[in-house]
Amino acid sequence: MQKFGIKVFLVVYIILVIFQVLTTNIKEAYTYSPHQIDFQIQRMNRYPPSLARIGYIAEVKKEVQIFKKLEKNFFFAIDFKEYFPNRLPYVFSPFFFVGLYIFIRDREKGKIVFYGFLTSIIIFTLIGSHAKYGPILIMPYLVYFIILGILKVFRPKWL
Amino acid sequence: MVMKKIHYILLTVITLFFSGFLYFYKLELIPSGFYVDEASVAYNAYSIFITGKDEYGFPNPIFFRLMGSYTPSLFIYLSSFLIKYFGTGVLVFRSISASAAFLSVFFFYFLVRKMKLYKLELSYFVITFFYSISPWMVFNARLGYETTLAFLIFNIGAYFLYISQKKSRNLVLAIIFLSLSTYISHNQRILAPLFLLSYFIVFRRKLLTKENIKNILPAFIVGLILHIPHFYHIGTRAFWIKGAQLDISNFWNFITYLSPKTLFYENPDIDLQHTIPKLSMMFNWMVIPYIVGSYLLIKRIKDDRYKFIAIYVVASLLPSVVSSYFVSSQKSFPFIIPLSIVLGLGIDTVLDSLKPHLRILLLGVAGYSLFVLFGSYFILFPKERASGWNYGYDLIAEYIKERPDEFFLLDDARNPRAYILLLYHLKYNPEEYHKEVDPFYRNNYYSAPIPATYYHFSNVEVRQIDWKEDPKKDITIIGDPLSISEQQAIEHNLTKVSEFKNPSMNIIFEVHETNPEAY
Repeated sequence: MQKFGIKVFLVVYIILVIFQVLTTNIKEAYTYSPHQIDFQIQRMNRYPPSLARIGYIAEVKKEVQIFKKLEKNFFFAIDFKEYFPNRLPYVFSPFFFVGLYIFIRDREKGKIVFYGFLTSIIIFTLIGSHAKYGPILIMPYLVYFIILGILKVFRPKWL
Repeated sequence: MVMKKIHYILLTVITLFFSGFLYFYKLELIPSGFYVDEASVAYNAYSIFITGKDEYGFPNPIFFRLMGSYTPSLFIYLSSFLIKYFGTGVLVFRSISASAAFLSVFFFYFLVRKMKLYKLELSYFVITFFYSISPWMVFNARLGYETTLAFLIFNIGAYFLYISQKKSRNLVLAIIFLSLSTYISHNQRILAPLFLLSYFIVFRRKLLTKENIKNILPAFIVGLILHIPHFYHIGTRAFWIKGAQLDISNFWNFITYLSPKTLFYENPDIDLQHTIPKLSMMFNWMVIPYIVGSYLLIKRIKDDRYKFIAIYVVASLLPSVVSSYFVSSQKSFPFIIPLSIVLGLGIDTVLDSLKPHLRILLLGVAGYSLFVLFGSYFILFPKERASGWNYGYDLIAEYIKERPDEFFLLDDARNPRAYILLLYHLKYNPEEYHKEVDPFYRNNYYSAPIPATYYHFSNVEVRQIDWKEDPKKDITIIGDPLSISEQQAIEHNLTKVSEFKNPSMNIIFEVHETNPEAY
């Protein structure tokens, strides 16, 4: 039964990953507008001549710029404000935090879900936030955390 | 053992060296410009020093009206005392904050030491180092107004409050420092009572013992005595000026303040003056210890030490959360203490999981942090935030000083508080200004009247341009590039005679002479 559950989870998860990747404009995450390029050059020129090389590395160098894009995507993926209240009402946020805590505490019990959550954040970091339907790969986890939180706080007798 | 001690001494020296350097290096030049809040405090301190009265000619106020903010007075009185010995330069006012920030490093260390939260001895030094070089700390260490001094005094109070759990006689000291902090900044006027109240509610069982009561009573009496000046002004509008701005419906802003994106990636503060290019409040890598530390904080919340941190988190954020819909990195600055303690929990856990020889990686993290901070704060910030810091008013003041026979109009359409910047940079005699300022403000000092829209002193008027009348007068008009367009200059026969540029070489002020004969 447990193995069957894992299989179902994996199938649904893979479908979601494919859907997320197909509906995300990945190119957009790694391209710069002429204005952004101009701004990078302006910033590089703000470094004094003695630090010109550092200015180039910090502001223009391609690898550093890619790292900055990844950083932006990562912080977008874990930004609470992105989800509350944009996608979920504020009132659920306390339950989200309680649920997230329980989820991390009991991560050994649900390893597959835990790693699925981490993988979702990594995928989102790589493909960027220009998704047609938003971060659908992360949303199920959020709802899961909220349910965990509600169950913890209210402890319904029927469970 | 001896080697370890040498390492810790070395770490302490490194922390003090870097914090001293980051707080005091080029302090008079960076931030470039002198912000209007700094000028306001500085000119009032100067006025108090010369005349014993504030800019409006009101004798020794307990709340300074300034431009309608009714700022608690202690920072201004301290500044006026320092003016006697060190003059009125930018450095004097900013060095109060730099010194306060430097002292706060010690009290942060004392607090985490007393709390005994970390497994590794090394973690106490490491988190103190990162606290001292964090962008949030460095930024606030270099302000010429009350925020950082209030922060220090509040932290000393919080430290004594924490140690009063074991020795309740420290409660008197805690009350003294927490009360003093309310005389320095508005933020602490909400934060200190909130923190104290939450502390007493959470630890009531521990506190209300026979042994403690005999120390609580004197502390309470000391508190009452220290707040007599507050009680005396409780009926004035000035006393409640910030209270009227509180709005509990902003409560959910907690989420924004606690979001990793806000803390470690992008400071969402809409005030350009409060931000550093490319940096948020803390370094981006700290998101990892933040997640680990937050988890541990919740996990161990039943422990009194962690309850104390939780109280600190809520109390330090609540005043800023409910005071505005927008994030204010300045009002929430006290949050850096519980945040750093939590980051320390995370760093301690990560370090503990590493093999000892891998802890050398810390050097790389420290190097990266210093590199990023130096580039953002000391190279980009002075150029990109110069206008946000009111750069250029000293240049205008010099220009005016060199032309005592001309009459000037400074357009303040985009900076309605510009008059105080000129008063400060002109070092205009406060006794003279008291004769020129509208006595209405002196006579209704604490009743919070609406700020003036017109200022006149010496050969200067500060107000918005009246396009019907001003071009007919023989005056020199100074304004930013939006004040006078090329078309307007042609239409009204104005002659551009000078311009001033900021460090990015953008024009910030233009000087035009009128030609009344042409009318």
